[in-house]
Amino acid sequence: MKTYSKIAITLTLLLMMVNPLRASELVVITSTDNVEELNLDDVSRIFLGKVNSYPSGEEVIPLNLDPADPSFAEFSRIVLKKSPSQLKAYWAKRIFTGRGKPPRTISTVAELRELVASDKRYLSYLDKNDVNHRVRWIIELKQ
Amino acid sequence: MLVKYCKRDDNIDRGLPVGMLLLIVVLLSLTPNQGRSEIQYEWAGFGTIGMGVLDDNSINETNGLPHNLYDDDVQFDVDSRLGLQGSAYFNDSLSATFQVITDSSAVDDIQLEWAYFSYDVNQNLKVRMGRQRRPLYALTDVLPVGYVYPWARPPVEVYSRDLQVYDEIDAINILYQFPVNDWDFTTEFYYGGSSGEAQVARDEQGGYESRDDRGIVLQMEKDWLSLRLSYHVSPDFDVDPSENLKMLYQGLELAGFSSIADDMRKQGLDGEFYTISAGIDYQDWLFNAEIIQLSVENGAVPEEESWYIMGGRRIGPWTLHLTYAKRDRDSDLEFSQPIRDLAANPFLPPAQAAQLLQLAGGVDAVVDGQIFDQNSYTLGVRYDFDEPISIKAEYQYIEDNQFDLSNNLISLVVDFLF
Repeated sequence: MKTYSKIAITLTLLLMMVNPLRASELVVITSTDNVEELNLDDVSRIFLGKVNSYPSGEEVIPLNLDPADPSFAEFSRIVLKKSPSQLKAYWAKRIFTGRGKPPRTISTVAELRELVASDKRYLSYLDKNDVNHRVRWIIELKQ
Repeated sequence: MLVKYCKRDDNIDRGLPVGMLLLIVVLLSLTPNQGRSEIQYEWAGFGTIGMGVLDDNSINETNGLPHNLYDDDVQFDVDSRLGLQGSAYFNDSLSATFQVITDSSAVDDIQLEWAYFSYDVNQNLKVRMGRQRRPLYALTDVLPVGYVYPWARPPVEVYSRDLQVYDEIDAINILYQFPVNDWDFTTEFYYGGSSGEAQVARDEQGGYESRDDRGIVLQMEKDWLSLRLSYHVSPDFDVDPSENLKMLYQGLELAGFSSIADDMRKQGLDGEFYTISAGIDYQDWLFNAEIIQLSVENGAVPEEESWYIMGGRRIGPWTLHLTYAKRDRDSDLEFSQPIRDLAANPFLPPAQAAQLLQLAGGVDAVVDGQIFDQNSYTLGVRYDFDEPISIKAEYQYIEDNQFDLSNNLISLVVDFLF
């Protein structure tokens, strides 16, 4: 049993070294100061269009990175707990029954960071290394 | 699933309000943009290519209307379809949307499934007006979009073809969504009506019209759990009789039983639907169940109580699932007793008594022909590609308990979004 877990840990570490995506960490970003109580479940419900405001009642607008960006799938897996096809099915159901549409997609990290910095309503996510002084991260997304 | 069991002629029956709606949409689109406001357009589509075959057609040849979708020839037109949706966003809160579906089972039939204006009163409240799919069962409003459910088609025992006349409605729909602690609630209310053509007998269409339809849906979701309750009424529903029924009614009237004919007529039907469903999606384990109940006052319509239960498991891009479904449509309606009583009169000439018994038999057959006692077991697998494309293969064992028959259905379906 112990040997197996050692092997598993070694493999995980190896994978983390081989795969550069694992080397860094995603963080949820915003430019408002008012969201200390936000948890992962809240973030998930915001990005799935189930709620349109922070628990405090303030309006929130989620922004996605381009689905081609690895962070998109990573965020979906960790926060939304959905594979890319599950997420597509989720939004297809809402789009084709007129219940809502997915968050706006921003194609580059720089553009996303600027947008979030420019409007306190925006909520998004970035690789921790890409966070600059204009936005702040509020939640670290553990693997 | 959208096989034209219920053919509608949109141009004649319901073309006017929808046509006007579309005209308004087009006119609004052509209006020069004022100031900085700019209309945003969005397009989305979905499609299904499906085939299936039953090993023998006996199950479709019993009574009433064929209940199962396929027969013993390989068919491509039952599940195959293509849908296109266009939306125009006039501002942050007002939009217009239409959705059309081409159905290969009805070549020249392009159906307008949705055509509505949507107005977001605030962040939680949305009001829609126009043609919509009715949120009758958990999947009714999304039935054409095969990509969103694991099966080739939701169990026909519950999502039965003869109830699909109820699918579309011209209505006002109010959607209110709100969180309560960790739960997300969605409530939906609609009011409207529909009309068109439905299959009233094998190879025979007849008109139907439904007024003052309304329903309420309550949906609760939390993490991996979702629950849904709904209640619908169609208090004033007419269906034209088939040619055979017309003859039967005439016979009843001639024999002096016009009150029986009146009782049987599907005019002013008062229908009630109840549905309960639950879904679990927990760490790649899936569970879904739904129970529906339909009762109709006035007219010769049996009551229905149908349900399914499904369990599944996701393994990477694969989804394996097993479903049991049961359709029970039964009736204790007895229209023929007064005729039988008269036929039993010893002073009646035997020839006349025999005629009356024949008439009583015809009356009983009307109700009996609408009775179903069917269940099925479905074993299916779905594979999801990286692109929004999925392939589904299914084996279904169908049992007709009323006639003690069983059939096997094989289905292969490709669903996609674009």
